[in-house]
Amino acid sequence: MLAEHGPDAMIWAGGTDMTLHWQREKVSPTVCVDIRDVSQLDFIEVGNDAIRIGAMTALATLERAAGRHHILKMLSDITKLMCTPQTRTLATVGGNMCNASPAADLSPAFVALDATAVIFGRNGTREVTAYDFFVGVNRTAVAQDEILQEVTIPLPSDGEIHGSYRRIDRTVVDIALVNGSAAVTVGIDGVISKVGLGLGAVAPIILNAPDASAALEGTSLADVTRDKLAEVAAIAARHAKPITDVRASAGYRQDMVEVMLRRALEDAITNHGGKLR
Amino acid sequence: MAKHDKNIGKGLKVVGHGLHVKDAVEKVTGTIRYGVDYEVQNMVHGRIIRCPHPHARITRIDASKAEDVPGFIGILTHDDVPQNDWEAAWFNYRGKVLDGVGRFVGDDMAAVAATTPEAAEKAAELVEIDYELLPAVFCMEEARKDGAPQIRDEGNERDPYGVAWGDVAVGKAAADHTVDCDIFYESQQYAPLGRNACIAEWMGDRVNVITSSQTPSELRDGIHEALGIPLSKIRVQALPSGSSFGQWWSNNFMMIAVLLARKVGKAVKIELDNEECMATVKRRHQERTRGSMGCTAEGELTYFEFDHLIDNGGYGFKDDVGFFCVDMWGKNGHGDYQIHGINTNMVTAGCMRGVGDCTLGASVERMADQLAEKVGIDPVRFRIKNQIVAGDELRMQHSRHNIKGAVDEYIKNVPEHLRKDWPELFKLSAGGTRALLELGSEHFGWDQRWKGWATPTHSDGSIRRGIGVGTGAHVCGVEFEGASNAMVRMNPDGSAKVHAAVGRQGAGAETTQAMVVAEELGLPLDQVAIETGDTDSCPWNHGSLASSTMYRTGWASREAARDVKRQLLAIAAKEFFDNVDPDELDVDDGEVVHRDPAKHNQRIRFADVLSELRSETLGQTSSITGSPRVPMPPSTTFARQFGAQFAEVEVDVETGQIKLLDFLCVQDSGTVVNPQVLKNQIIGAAICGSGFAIYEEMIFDQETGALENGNLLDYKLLRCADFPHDAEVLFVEDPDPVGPFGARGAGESPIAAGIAAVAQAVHNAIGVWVDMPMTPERVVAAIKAERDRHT
Repeated sequence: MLAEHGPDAMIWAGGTDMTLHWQREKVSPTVCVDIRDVSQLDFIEVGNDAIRIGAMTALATLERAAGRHHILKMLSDITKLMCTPQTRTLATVGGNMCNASPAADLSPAFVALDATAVIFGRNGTREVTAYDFFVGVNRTAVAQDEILQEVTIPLPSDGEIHGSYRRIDRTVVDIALVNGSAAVTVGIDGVISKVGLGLGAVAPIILNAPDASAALEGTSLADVTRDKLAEVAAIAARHAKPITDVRASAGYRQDMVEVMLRRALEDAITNHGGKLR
Repeated sequence: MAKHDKNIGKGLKVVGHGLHVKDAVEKVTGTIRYGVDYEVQNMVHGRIIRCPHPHARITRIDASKAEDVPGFIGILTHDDVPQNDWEAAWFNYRGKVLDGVGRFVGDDMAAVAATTPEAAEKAAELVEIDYELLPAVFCMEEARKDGAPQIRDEGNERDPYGVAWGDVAVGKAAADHTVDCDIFYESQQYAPLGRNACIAEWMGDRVNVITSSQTPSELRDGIHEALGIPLSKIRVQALPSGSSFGQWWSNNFMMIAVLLARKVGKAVKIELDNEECMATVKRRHQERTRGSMGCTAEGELTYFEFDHLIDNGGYGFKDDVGFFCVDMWGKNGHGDYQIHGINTNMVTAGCMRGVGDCTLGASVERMADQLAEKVGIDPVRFRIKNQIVAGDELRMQHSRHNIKGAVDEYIKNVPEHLRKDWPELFKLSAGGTRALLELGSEHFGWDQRWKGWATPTHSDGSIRRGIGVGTGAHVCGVEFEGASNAMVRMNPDGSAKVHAAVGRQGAGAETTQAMVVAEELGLPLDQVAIETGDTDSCPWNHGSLASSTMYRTGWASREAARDVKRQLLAIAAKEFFDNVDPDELDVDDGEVVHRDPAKHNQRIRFADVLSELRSETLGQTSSITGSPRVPMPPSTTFARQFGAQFAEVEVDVETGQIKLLDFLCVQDSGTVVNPQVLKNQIIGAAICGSGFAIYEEMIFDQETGALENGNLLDYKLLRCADFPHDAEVLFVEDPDPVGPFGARGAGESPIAAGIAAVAQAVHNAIGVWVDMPMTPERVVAAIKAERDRHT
């Protein structure tokens, strides 16, 4: 159907963002493909090597999955910051991804966790990294005749991964003015093997910071200090290119993305049992 | 002189009890109808065409394309509109309904009617209007200058409103410490959750207007002024408004609905969308306080000097905010303050809950705190030392150039025998902050928690906690625009109906007015019903504004009930109690009884008394109607409400985010008629005040004055979860000598107290004063500026 109707057709998942876009005439589809009943896309699977989250998983479902894995606990905590309890029963993980808001809450976490988006089309499925998934404001790597099927979060085979998400908001119901997420993998040898960072609301897409990650990778968990994490966060924050809008100034966003990343890194290290000095 | 009887309001059967509000079930089940929910048969829909420019005159209107829209019915332009000025209550709006000039982006320029809202919207888009652009001015200071673009025929600025007492030079000479300020306040938006709509339906030359309004009588007056038709031909049926805070009084879009309906010959409904509600109707003024205050080394205030600007936007006309804060701190003997109302090409502005208290009042609280810090006295004691108590003089009545005359005249016109029971005028008759501060500081544990000025109570990493206290005062209604009236009718079955044109904006007036009448008439509450909105049945009333509902309308409702009772007892005495003096009788639980409990075995049901009235008049009179029989004393000259609030906040000095951790509200509104209702109102005020203090701000385009955050995503209102769930409310009930059963006003002092408490708590946490709203970004900037100042 998507192929048949071309750009006039859009997917209707939870509809919570779509309704607003439609009302504000940002989109004007003539055909909405309602996939709310596609139950095959509504799942959360915890495997040994990965956690798979179906695109049609409601935020409320993800919120309730906290007990199944500590990474799901992290994501559950993020969903609690999103919209309102009523809206979370409608809004979906896939819809949130495909809406591709630079201020989205789950997206920086997926980027930090080095998640993969599985995209389904007429020629089968293909995979892109969460970082490559977002290509602009409200624009993704999903083509007109494709849909997002699931998000896969890889789990390390030889260590443990912990993550954290921090954001600046105003009241209990708000979108992030700026946000940051960190995921840190520590090998069985106690050495940090992988660091993922995600920076939100400071560019049209969710940013990562490979140079900052590299600055921490290879460090022994026992040697990590607060100063070290501050240094890593400062390197990462240099990637930010924030704008000024009614919510915050570019300068404030620039300063705060560093604070958010530093705190997210501190949380991630603490979650590993690291003692910060 | 009225006795200050501390026992008024004690031991009553209805008043003082936390009874359920009358419309609780309707609200919870969603069956209550607000303006937007209402429809009449065959009505059509109106849409207002809005000015895209800050200041512009229409040169041409072409509706030919709009006429092609299926369902289009007609258009209203300024050529169809009588060129009369109409005025909303308290100088909130003055102007013509449409006059071909737009004075802010979003101003009403014309309106179309069509069979559906969608067709009306489409047609409105297709009306072509050419404008001659006029120079615009957005800043108050610029608007005051010679040669500034003039927004109104009356000029951008009129004579200031001022109050002066003593001799400021003497006060300055006596001061050991002084502080100066120059503080700018951003506009707060009413941010209604419920929007509004207005339906106008003409029947011959009479018009029926159905809308949500807090001021039904003032709305009828406004239509009368705008159209020049007799008041007798205008019926307003005001519906509940939901949260309003002053927004839905009488608004220009209602006038447009009336005129558009007349033009097209059909009932018209104009329903505003969210953005229209926020960007085109009204807002709290932007304000700027400059001034200084001084005190002795012992912390006694010696003088006040203020020059305060308020920005009225295009159509506001207000210049008299802020006297209550000056009254409250009125122990000092010397003062001079001036308020300048200024028009600009900003969105039109008007009164919002605690007008002046939240701005000039916040400035006074902050300066007083700065003096207290210099002297080294804690804020609770500084307030107790300097704030007035019952018997002290009220300053606002001194030298009021535009209103004092009216009060004096009012007083002079009342025959002396009717004045003998009045409280002493121009002095506070009851209440004050002292008892609130004493009770509150004990309950809050102030002395244990206070660590000194600019000293956090707790510090951990980037977290600083601080406590603060703030106070607020307000009048309990005003008499200048006319005395609020009410009528009570007792029906043949002994039930009673109150007719009092007040607002139903969530403050429970429909319940508390009925409670006052039920108490006076000795009826259970469910026997008393109320009509609040219909101007065809309710006598003129100022409406629910200026915290007047319980005090002034409540007084009128009680007096009307007294009049009913007097008539009822007279008939009962004659027909059932052997012609005893009616004063020997009383009412109790729907029955007339003897005052002497020994004679209580004779109980006559009200219905039997009414039945006797009926038979005696051959059925001509079947009910008793009561109205106030004496004039209400001018309450601005003696009655005030007071609030004191205590807050603990947590500030993240790295991000600037503020969390509210603890809140205690203490309120003196005299006798509390319904503690559940009042508790809700006080908590609501504290949340609204906290929102003003930390987030709420209308953001305007620098070039055009257009509102940029006219939505609830980016206009940040505090939610319940942003406020301490265990916040407490305590009452000090110092009964009023005039108000019904000792009650006074309530709605506005608590918002001012909360603002001041949060502002001071933040200062104590981080050691810097931050201008409001104290957004994360402003907090960070203020901390940085302070750090830079020291390096």
